[in-house]
Amino acid sequence: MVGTKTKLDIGGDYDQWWKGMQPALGELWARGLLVYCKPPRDSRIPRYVEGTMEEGNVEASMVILSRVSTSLLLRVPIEDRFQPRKLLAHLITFSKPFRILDLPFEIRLRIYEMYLDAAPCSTEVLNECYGRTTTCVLPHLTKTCRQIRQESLKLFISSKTLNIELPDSTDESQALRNMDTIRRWAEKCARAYLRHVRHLNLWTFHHYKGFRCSLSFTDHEGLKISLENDRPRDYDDAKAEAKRKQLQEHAEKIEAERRALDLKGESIILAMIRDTQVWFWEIDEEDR
Amino acid sequence: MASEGEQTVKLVSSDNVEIVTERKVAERSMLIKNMIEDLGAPGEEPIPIMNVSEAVLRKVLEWCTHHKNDPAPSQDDDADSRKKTTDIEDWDQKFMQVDQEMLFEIILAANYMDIKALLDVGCKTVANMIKGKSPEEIRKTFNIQNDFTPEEEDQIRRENEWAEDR
Repeated sequence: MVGTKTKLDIGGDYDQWWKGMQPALGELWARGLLVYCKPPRDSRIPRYVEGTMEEGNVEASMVILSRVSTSLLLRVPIEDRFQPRKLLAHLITFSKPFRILDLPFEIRLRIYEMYLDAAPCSTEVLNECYGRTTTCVLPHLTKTCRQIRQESLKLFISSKTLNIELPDSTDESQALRNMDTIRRWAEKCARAYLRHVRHLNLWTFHHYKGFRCSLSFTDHEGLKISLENDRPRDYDDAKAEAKRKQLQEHAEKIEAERRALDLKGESIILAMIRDTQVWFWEIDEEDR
Repeated sequence: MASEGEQTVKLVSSDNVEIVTERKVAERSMLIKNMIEDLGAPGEEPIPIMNVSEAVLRKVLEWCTHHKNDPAPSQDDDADSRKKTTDIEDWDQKFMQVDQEMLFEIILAANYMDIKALLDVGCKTVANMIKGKSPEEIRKTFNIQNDFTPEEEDQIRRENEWAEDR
Protein backbone atom coordinates (compact mmCIF):
# COMPACT_ATOMS: atom_id res chain seq x y z
CA MET A 1 0.00 0.00 0.00
CA VAL A 2 1.48 3.32 -1.04
CA GLY A 3 0.43 6.08 1.30
CA THR A 4 0.48 9.77 0.60
CA LYS A 5 3.62 10.11 2.73
CA THR A 6 5.52 7.38 0.84
CA LYS A 7 8.51 8.85 -0.90
CA LEU A 8 8.88 8.06 -4.58
CA ASP A 9 12.19 6.37 -5.30
CA ILE A 10 13.94 4.75 -8.23
CA GLY A 11 11.98 1.58 -8.91
CA GLY A 12 8.92 3.06 -7.22
CA ASP A 13 5.39 2.84 -8.57
CA TYR A 14 4.85 6.32 -10.04
CA ASP A 15 1.15 5.90 -10.84
CA GLN A 16 0.35 4.72 -7.33
CA TRP A 17 2.46 7.52 -5.84
CA TRP A 18 0.69 10.12 -7.98
CA LYS A 19 -2.71 8.87 -6.78
CA GLY A 20 -1.61 9.68 -3.24
CA MET A 21 -0.05 12.96 -4.36
CA GLN A 22 -3.13 14.41 -6.09
CA PRO A 23 -5.31 15.01 -3.03
CA ALA A 24 -2.37 16.66 -1.25
CA LEU A 25 -1.88 19.05 -4.15
CA GLY A 26 -5.58 19.52 -4.79
CA GLU A 27 -6.67 20.31 -1.28
CA LEU A 28 -3.62 21.54 0.54
CA TRP A 29 -4.11 25.03 1.90
CA ALA A 30 -7.27 25.18 -0.22
CA ARG A 31 -5.12 26.62 -2.96
CA GLY A 32 -5.48 23.82 -5.47
CA LEU A 33 -1.77 23.55 -6.20
CA LEU A 34 -2.59 20.71 -8.59
CA VAL A 35 -3.32 23.35 -11.21
CA TYR A 36 0.41 24.06 -11.58
CA CYS A 37 1.16 20.41 -12.31
CA LYS A 38 -1.25 19.86 -15.18
CA PRO A 39 -0.32 20.51 -18.79
CA PRO A 40 -1.46 24.05 -19.82
CA ARG A 41 -4.33 22.87 -22.05
CA ASP A 42 -5.91 20.97 -19.13
CA SER A 43 -5.26 23.40 -16.37
CA ARG A 44 -7.39 26.35 -17.54
CA ILE A 45 -5.56 28.67 -15.22
CA PRO A 46 -7.67 31.77 -14.65
CA ARG A 47 -5.98 34.99 -15.65
CA TYR A 48 -5.86 36.30 -12.08
CA VAL A 49 -3.90 33.21 -10.97
CA GLU A 50 -1.20 33.74 -13.56
CA GLY A 51 0.20 36.59 -11.50
CA THR A 52 0.96 34.23 -8.65
CA MET A 53 2.18 31.51 -10.97
CA GLU A 54 5.77 31.60 -9.80
CA GLU A 55 4.89 31.40 -6.14
CA GLY A 56 2.48 28.56 -6.78
CA ASN A 57 5.10 26.72 -8.81
CA VAL A 58 7.48 26.77 -5.90
CA GLU A 59 4.82 25.72 -3.40
CA ALA A 60 3.59 22.87 -5.58
CA SER A 61 7.18 21.77 -6.19
CA MET A 62 7.93 21.79 -2.48
CA VAL A 63 4.95 19.52 -1.80
CA ILE A 64 6.11 17.13 -4.54
CA LEU A 65 9.78 17.23 -3.54
CA SER A 66 8.96 16.42 0.08
CA ARG A 67 7.67 13.08 -1.19
CA VAL A 68 10.65 12.18 -3.36
CA SER A 69 13.70 10.23 -2.16
CA THR A 70 17.07 11.99 -2.18
CA SER A 71 18.68 9.59 -4.66
CA LEU A 72 15.86 10.21 -7.12
CA LEU A 73 15.81 13.96 -6.50
CA LEU A 74 19.55 14.20 -7.23
CA ARG A 75 18.92 12.98 -10.75
CA VAL A 76 16.49 15.81 -11.59
CA PRO A 77 18.29 18.81 -13.15
CA ILE A 78 18.37 21.73 -10.70
CA GLU A 79 16.72 24.13 -13.14
CA ASP A 80 13.66 21.87 -13.39
CA ARG A 81 13.21 21.12 -9.69
CA PHE A 82 10.83 24.03 -9.16
CA GLN A 83 8.91 23.61 -12.41
CA PRO A 84 6.19 21.13 -11.38
CA ARG A 85 5.33 19.94 -14.88
CA LYS A 86 8.94 19.35 -15.85
CA LEU A 87 9.68 17.91 -12.42
CA LEU A 88 6.89 15.34 -12.76
CA ALA A 89 8.02 14.43 -16.29
CA HIS A 90 11.51 13.72 -14.92
CA LEU A 91 10.08 11.70 -12.03
CA ILE A 92 8.11 9.47 -14.42
CA THR A 93 11.33 8.68 -16.32
CA PHE A 94 13.78 8.46 -13.45
CA SER A 95 11.61 6.34 -11.17
CA LYS A 96 11.88 3.38 -13.54
CA PRO A 97 14.14 0.59 -12.23
CA PHE A 98 17.75 0.25 -13.38
CA ARG A 99 18.62 -3.13 -14.96
CA ILE A 100 21.68 -3.92 -12.88
CA LEU A 101 21.46 -7.69 -13.41
CA ASP A 102 21.68 -7.21 -17.18
CA LEU A 103 25.10 -5.55 -16.91
CA PRO A 104 28.21 -7.70 -17.43
CA PHE A 105 29.53 -9.22 -14.19
CA GLU A 106 32.77 -7.20 -14.12
CA ILE A 107 30.86 -3.91 -14.27
CA ARG A 108 28.55 -5.01 -11.47
CA LEU A 109 31.62 -5.89 -9.43
CA ARG A 110 32.99 -2.38 -9.95
CA ILE A 111 29.64 -0.96 -8.75
CA TYR A 112 29.78 -3.17 -5.63
CA GLU A 113 33.35 -2.03 -4.95
CA MET A 114 32.33 1.61 -5.11
CA TYR A 115 29.29 1.03 -2.93
CA LEU A 116 31.24 -0.98 -0.35
CA ASP A 117 34.04 1.56 -0.18
CA ALA A 118 31.60 4.39 0.29
CA ALA A 119 29.12 2.64 2.60
CA PRO A 120 30.24 2.92 6.20
CA CYS A 121 29.97 -0.63 7.44
CA SER A 122 31.52 -2.08 10.55
CA THR A 123 34.31 -4.58 10.14
CA GLU A 124 33.86 -5.68 13.73
CA VAL A 125 32.33 -9.11 13.30
CA LEU A 126 32.26 -10.06 16.94
CA ASN A 127 32.54 -7.98 20.08
CA GLU A 128 31.93 -9.13 23.60
CA CYS A 129 33.10 -6.22 25.60
CA TYR A 130 31.11 -4.18 28.07
CA GLY A 131 28.96 -7.29 28.75
CA ARG A 132 27.27 -7.28 25.36
CA THR A 133 27.89 -9.44 22.35
CA THR A 134 27.38 -7.91 18.95
CA THR A 135 27.99 -9.27 15.49
CA CYS A 136 28.74 -7.77 12.13
CA VAL A 137 26.06 -5.97 10.20
CA LEU A 138 26.74 -6.89 6.58
CA PRO A 139 25.96 -4.24 3.95
CA HIS A 140 22.32 -4.27 2.91
CA LEU A 141 23.34 -5.02 -0.66
CA THR A 142 24.28 -8.56 0.45
CA LYS A 143 20.71 -9.19 1.58
CA THR A 144 18.84 -8.44 -1.63
CA CYS A 145 18.87 -11.61 -3.75
CA ARG A 146 20.95 -14.75 -4.17
CA GLN A 147 22.93 -13.62 -7.18
CA ILE A 148 23.94 -10.23 -5.77
CA ARG A 149 24.66 -11.83 -2.38
CA GLN A 150 26.93 -14.41 -3.93
CA GLU A 151 28.77 -11.79 -5.98
CA SER A 152 29.12 -9.08 -3.32
CA LEU A 153 29.61 -11.09 -0.11
CA LYS A 154 32.91 -12.57 -1.27
CA LEU A 155 34.16 -9.16 -2.36
CA PHE A 156 33.16 -7.52 0.92
CA ILE A 157 34.53 -10.18 3.28
CA SER A 158 37.77 -10.96 1.43
CA SER A 159 38.76 -7.32 0.94
CA LYS A 160 38.36 -6.27 4.59
CA THR A 161 40.25 -6.97 7.76
CA LEU A 162 37.61 -8.21 10.16
CA ASN A 163 37.91 -7.68 13.89
CA ILE A 164 36.99 -9.89 16.80
CA GLU A 165 37.20 -8.23 20.19
CA LEU A 166 36.85 -10.31 23.35
CA PRO A 167 37.46 -9.84 27.07
CA ASP A 168 40.96 -10.37 28.38
CA SER A 169 41.72 -14.09 28.88
CA THR A 170 43.76 -13.86 32.04
CA ASP A 171 42.35 -17.11 33.40
CA GLU A 172 41.43 -20.36 31.78
CA SER A 173 37.67 -20.10 32.33
CA GLN A 174 37.54 -16.76 30.48
CA ALA A 175 39.67 -18.24 27.71
CA LEU A 176 37.20 -21.12 27.42
CA ARG A 177 34.28 -18.68 27.31
CA ASN A 178 36.02 -16.72 24.56
CA MET A 179 36.65 -19.86 22.54
CA ASP A 180 33.01 -20.82 22.94
CA THR A 181 31.90 -17.36 21.79
CA ILE A 182 34.05 -17.60 18.67
CA ARG A 183 32.86 -21.13 17.98
CA ARG A 184 29.20 -20.12 18.21
CA TRP A 185 29.83 -17.09 16.03
CA ALA A 186 31.60 -19.25 13.42
CA GLU A 187 28.91 -21.91 13.41
CA LYS A 188 25.82 -19.74 13.63
CA CYS A 189 26.40 -16.18 12.50
CA ALA A 190 29.28 -16.33 10.08
CA ARG A 191 28.68 -19.67 8.39
CA ALA A 192 27.88 -18.22 4.98
CA TYR A 193 30.89 -15.94 4.73
CA LEU A 194 33.67 -17.56 6.78
CA ARG A 195 35.15 -19.24 3.72
CA HIS A 196 35.82 -15.80 2.26
CA VAL A 197 37.71 -14.46 5.31
CA ARG A 198 41.28 -13.52 4.45
CA HIS A 199 42.31 -11.10 7.21
CA LEU A 200 41.17 -11.25 10.78
CA ASN A 201 42.31 -9.51 13.96
CA LEU A 202 41.63 -11.38 17.16
CA TRP A 203 41.82 -8.72 19.77
CA THR A 204 41.54 -9.45 23.44
CA PHE A 205 40.20 -6.36 25.05
CA HIS A 206 42.38 -5.19 27.86
CA HIS A 207 41.15 -3.48 30.96
CA TYR A 208 44.75 -2.79 31.72
CA LYS A 209 46.80 -4.62 29.07
CA GLY A 210 46.44 -7.07 26.22
CA PHE A 211 47.60 -8.64 23.02
CA ARG A 212 46.32 -8.26 19.52
CA CYS A 213 46.58 -11.32 17.37
CA SER A 214 46.36 -10.85 13.61
CA LEU A 215 45.52 -13.63 11.28
CA SER A 216 45.93 -13.36 7.57
CA PHE A 217 45.46 -15.99 5.00
CA THR A 218 46.16 -16.06 1.29
CA ASP A 219 46.33 -19.04 -1.00
CA HIS A 220 49.81 -17.96 -1.97
CA GLU A 221 51.32 -17.29 1.46
CA GLY A 222 49.21 -19.55 3.61
CA LEU A 223 48.18 -18.75 7.15
CA LYS A 224 50.03 -16.14 9.13
CA ILE A 225 49.44 -15.36 12.76
CA SER A 226 51.22 -12.47 14.37
CA LEU A 227 51.03 -11.12 17.86
CA GLU A 228 51.20 -7.51 18.84
CA ASN A 229 51.58 -6.35 22.35
CA ASP A 230 49.48 -3.21 22.73
CA ARG A 231 51.53 -1.90 25.61
CA PRO A 232 54.98 -3.43 25.28
CA ARG A 233 56.20 -1.97 28.55
CA ASP A 234 53.46 -3.69 30.56
CA TYR A 235 54.87 -7.14 29.92
CA ASP A 236 58.39 -8.14 30.60
CA ASP A 237 60.21 -9.17 27.47
CA ALA A 238 60.71 -12.81 28.38
CA LYS A 239 57.00 -13.40 29.05
CA ALA A 240 55.89 -11.63 25.87
CA GLU A 241 58.49 -13.52 23.86
CA ALA A 242 57.33 -16.86 25.27
CA LYS A 243 53.70 -16.06 24.38
CA ARG A 244 54.68 -14.99 20.90
CA LYS A 245 56.64 -18.20 20.40
CA GLN A 246 53.74 -20.31 21.64
CA LEU A 247 51.36 -18.62 19.19
CA GLN A 248 53.82 -18.93 16.35
CA GLU A 249 54.14 -22.68 16.93
CA HIS A 250 50.37 -22.93 17.13
CA ALA A 251 50.06 -21.10 13.81
CA GLU A 252 52.62 -23.36 12.15
CA LYS A 253 50.78 -26.44 13.35
CA ILE A 254 47.47 -25.17 11.91
CA GLU A 255 49.14 -24.15 8.68
CA ALA A 256 50.58 -27.67 8.27
CA GLU A 257 47.11 -29.12 8.91
CA ARG A 258 45.51 -26.64 6.54
CA ARG A 259 47.82 -27.66 3.74
CA ALA A 260 47.52 -31.37 4.44
CA LEU A 261 43.73 -31.40 4.87
CA ASP A 262 42.93 -28.45 2.60
CA LEU A 263 41.08 -26.67 5.42
CA LYS A 264 38.85 -23.75 4.46
CA GLY A 265 37.35 -20.75 6.31
CA GLU A 266 35.36 -22.17 9.19
CA SER A 267 37.76 -25.09 9.76
CA ILE A 268 40.74 -22.74 9.96
CA ILE A 269 39.05 -20.52 12.55
CA LEU A 270 37.95 -23.53 14.61
CA ALA A 271 41.41 -25.10 14.43
CA MET A 272 42.96 -21.81 15.41
CA ILE A 273 40.92 -21.42 18.58
CA ARG A 274 40.81 -25.02 19.74
CA ASP A 275 43.88 -24.93 22.03
CA THR A 276 42.75 -22.90 25.03
CA GLN A 277 46.19 -22.86 26.56
CA VAL A 278 47.45 -20.65 23.76
CA TRP A 279 44.78 -18.04 24.25
CA PHE A 280 45.14 -17.11 27.86
CA TRP A 281 48.01 -15.72 29.81
CA GLU A 282 48.63 -15.59 33.47
CA ILE A 283 49.30 -12.24 34.93
CA ASP A 284 51.27 -11.77 38.09
CA GLU A 285 50.03 -9.33 40.63
CA GLU A 286 53.03 -7.16 39.91
CA ASP A 287 52.01 -6.94 36.20
CA ARG A 288 48.76 -5.28 37.19
CA MET B 1 48.61 18.76 -43.19
CA ALA B 2 46.49 19.35 -40.10
CA SER B 3 48.21 18.89 -36.76
CA GLU B 4 47.08 15.99 -34.61
CA GLY B 5 44.95 18.28 -32.45
CA GLU B 6 42.91 19.58 -35.41
CA GLN B 7 42.45 16.26 -37.15
CA THR B 8 38.98 14.81 -37.37
CA VAL B 9 37.83 11.24 -37.45
CA LYS B 10 34.68 9.61 -38.82
CA LEU B 11 32.83 7.26 -36.50
CA VAL B 12 29.98 5.03 -37.63
CA SER B 13 27.36 4.04 -35.07
CA SER B 14 25.63 0.63 -34.92
CA ASP B 15 22.61 2.16 -36.72
CA ASN B 16 24.91 3.32 -39.52
CA VAL B 17 25.05 7.04 -38.79
CA GLU B 18 28.33 8.77 -39.54
CA ILE B 19 29.57 11.20 -36.89
CA VAL B 20 32.61 13.40 -37.47
CA THR B 21 34.50 14.48 -34.39
CA GLU B 22 37.89 15.78 -33.30
CA ARG B 23 40.55 13.09 -33.10
CA LYS B 24 41.50 14.29 -29.62
CA VAL B 25 37.90 13.87 -28.44
CA ALA B 26 37.54 10.41 -29.97
CA GLU B 27 40.84 9.27 -28.51
CA ARG B 28 39.43 9.44 -24.98
CA SER B 29 38.27 6.00 -26.05
CA MET B 30 41.16 3.55 -25.92
CA LEU B 31 39.32 1.39 -28.44
CA ILE B 32 39.28 4.23 -31.00
CA LYS B 33 42.82 5.32 -30.13
CA ASN B 34 44.13 1.82 -30.82
CA MET B 35 42.07 1.56 -34.01
CA ILE B 36 43.47 4.87 -35.30
CA GLU B 37 46.99 3.67 -34.59
CA ASP B 38 46.31 0.38 -36.39
CA LEU B 39 44.53 1.94 -39.38
CA GLY B 40 46.90 4.87 -39.87
CA ALA B 41 45.61 7.80 -41.99
CA PRO B 42 42.92 9.02 -39.55
CA GLY B 43 39.91 10.75 -41.03
CA GLU B 44 39.84 8.81 -44.27
CA GLU B 45 38.61 5.43 -43.13
CA PRO B 46 35.35 5.49 -41.10
CA ILE B 47 35.70 3.74 -37.74
CA PRO B 48 32.81 1.40 -36.95
CA ILE B 49 31.57 1.50 -33.36
CA MET B 50 29.58 -1.68 -33.66
CA ASN B 51 27.77 -1.89 -30.33
CA VAL B 52 26.79 1.75 -29.81
CA SER B 53 23.77 3.48 -31.34
CA GLU B 54 23.85 7.07 -32.60
CA ALA B 55 22.03 8.58 -29.60
CA VAL B 56 24.36 6.91 -27.12
CA LEU B 57 27.48 7.62 -29.18
CA ARG B 58 26.60 11.33 -29.33
CA LYS B 59 26.11 11.37 -25.58
CA VAL B 60 29.44 9.60 -25.01
CA LEU B 61 31.18 12.07 -27.34
CA GLU B 62 29.62 14.95 -25.37
CA TRP B 63 31.40 13.59 -22.29
CA CYS B 64 34.63 13.09 -24.26
CA THR B 65 34.50 16.68 -25.53
CA HIS B 66 34.18 18.08 -22.01
CA HIS B 67 37.03 15.87 -20.80
CA LYS B 68 39.25 16.06 -23.89
CA ASN B 69 41.98 17.96 -22.05
CA ASP B 70 42.04 15.70 -18.99
CA PRO B 71 45.35 13.91 -18.46
CA ALA B 72 45.40 10.66 -20.44
CA PRO B 73 44.95 7.55 -18.33
CA SER B 74 48.21 5.74 -17.82
CA GLN B 75 48.65 2.07 -18.72
CA ASP B 76 48.94 0.92 -15.11
CA ASP B 77 45.91 2.92 -14.05
CA ASP B 78 44.21 -0.20 -12.77
CA ALA B 79 41.14 -0.67 -10.61
CA ASP B 80 43.03 -0.24 -7.34
CA SER B 81 44.57 3.12 -8.10
CA ARG B 82 41.32 4.56 -9.44
CA LYS B 83 39.46 6.80 -7.07
CA LYS B 84 36.99 4.69 -5.19
CA THR B 85 34.82 7.34 -3.56
CA THR B 86 31.35 7.91 -4.87
CA ASP B 87 31.89 11.67 -5.23
CA ILE B 88 31.05 12.85 -8.72
CA GLU B 89 32.08 16.25 -10.00
CA ASP B 90 29.21 18.65 -10.77
CA TRP B 91 29.45 18.55 -14.56
CA ASP B 92 29.52 14.75 -14.62
CA GLN B 93 26.62 14.56 -12.21
CA LYS B 94 24.56 16.75 -14.50
CA PHE B 95 25.70 14.75 -17.52
CA MET B 96 24.40 11.60 -15.83
CA GLN B 97 20.93 13.06 -15.30
CA VAL B 98 19.52 10.82 -17.99
CA ASP B 99 16.87 8.13 -17.89
CA GLN B 100 17.80 4.68 -16.59
CA GLU B 101 17.98 3.10 -20.05
CA MET B 102 20.39 5.79 -21.29
CA LEU B 103 22.51 5.39 -18.14
CA PHE B 104 22.57 1.63 -18.78
CA GLU B 105 23.61 2.20 -22.40
CA ILE B 106 26.28 4.77 -21.46
CA ILE B 107 27.85 2.32 -19.01
CA LEU B 108 27.88 -0.45 -21.62
CA ALA B 109 29.29 1.93 -24.26
CA ALA B 110 32.02 3.21 -21.93
CA ASN B 111 32.98 -0.39 -21.21
CA TYR B 112 32.99 -1.37 -24.90
CA MET B 113 34.81 1.78 -26.02
CA ASP B 114 37.24 1.44 -23.11
CA ILE B 115 36.75 4.86 -21.51
CA LYS B 116 37.61 4.05 -17.90
CA ALA B 117 36.83 7.48 -16.42
CA LEU B 118 33.34 7.52 -17.96
CA LEU B 119 32.72 3.94 -16.86
CA ASP B 120 33.67 4.98 -13.32
CA VAL B 121 31.25 7.92 -13.35
CA GLY B 122 28.49 5.57 -14.53
CA CYS B 123 29.29 2.98 -11.87
CA LYS B 124 29.41 5.68 -9.19
CA THR B 125 26.00 6.93 -10.27
CA VAL B 126 24.58 3.44 -9.81
CA ALA B 127 26.48 2.95 -6.50
CA ASN B 128 24.88 6.18 -5.26
CA MET B 129 21.46 4.68 -5.98
CA ILE B 130 22.25 1.87 -3.51
CA LYS B 131 23.75 3.95 -0.70
CA GLY B 132 21.67 4.25 2.45
CA LYS B 133 18.89 1.95 1.25
CA SER B 134 17.28 -1.05 2.92
CA PRO B 135 17.40 -4.42 1.10
CA GLU B 136 13.76 -3.96 0.04
CA GLU B 137 14.46 -0.48 -1.33
CA ILE B 138 17.48 -1.81 -3.26
CA ARG B 139 15.29 -4.57 -4.73
CA LYS B 140 12.82 -1.95 -5.97
CA THR B 141 15.57 0.24 -7.40
CA PHE B 142 16.80 -2.64 -9.54
CA ASN B 143 13.52 -4.52 -9.93
CA ILE B 144 14.97 -7.70 -8.49
CA GLN B 145 13.10 -10.53 -6.84
CA ASN B 146 13.83 -11.75 -3.34
CA ASP B 147 14.65 -15.37 -4.17
CA PHE B 148 16.10 -16.46 -0.82
CA THR B 149 14.81 -19.71 0.63
CA PRO B 150 13.42 -19.55 4.21
CA GLU B 151 16.69 -21.20 5.37
CA GLU B 152 18.77 -18.50 3.69
CA GLU B 153 16.56 -15.77 5.15
CA ASP B 154 17.17 -17.34 8.53
CA GLN B 155 20.93 -17.36 7.98
CA ILE B 156 20.89 -13.68 6.97
CA ARG B 157 18.96 -12.84 10.11
CA ARG B 158 21.51 -14.71 12.21
CA GLU B 159 24.40 -12.80 10.68
CA ASN B 160 23.00 -9.63 12.11
CA GLU B 161 21.69 -10.77 15.45
CA TRP B 162 23.67 -12.51 18.10
CA ALA B 163 22.14 -15.92 18.71
CA GLU B 164 21.60 -15.91 22.45
CA ASP B 165 20.65 -19.58 22.77
CA ARG B 166 23.81 -21.05 24.17
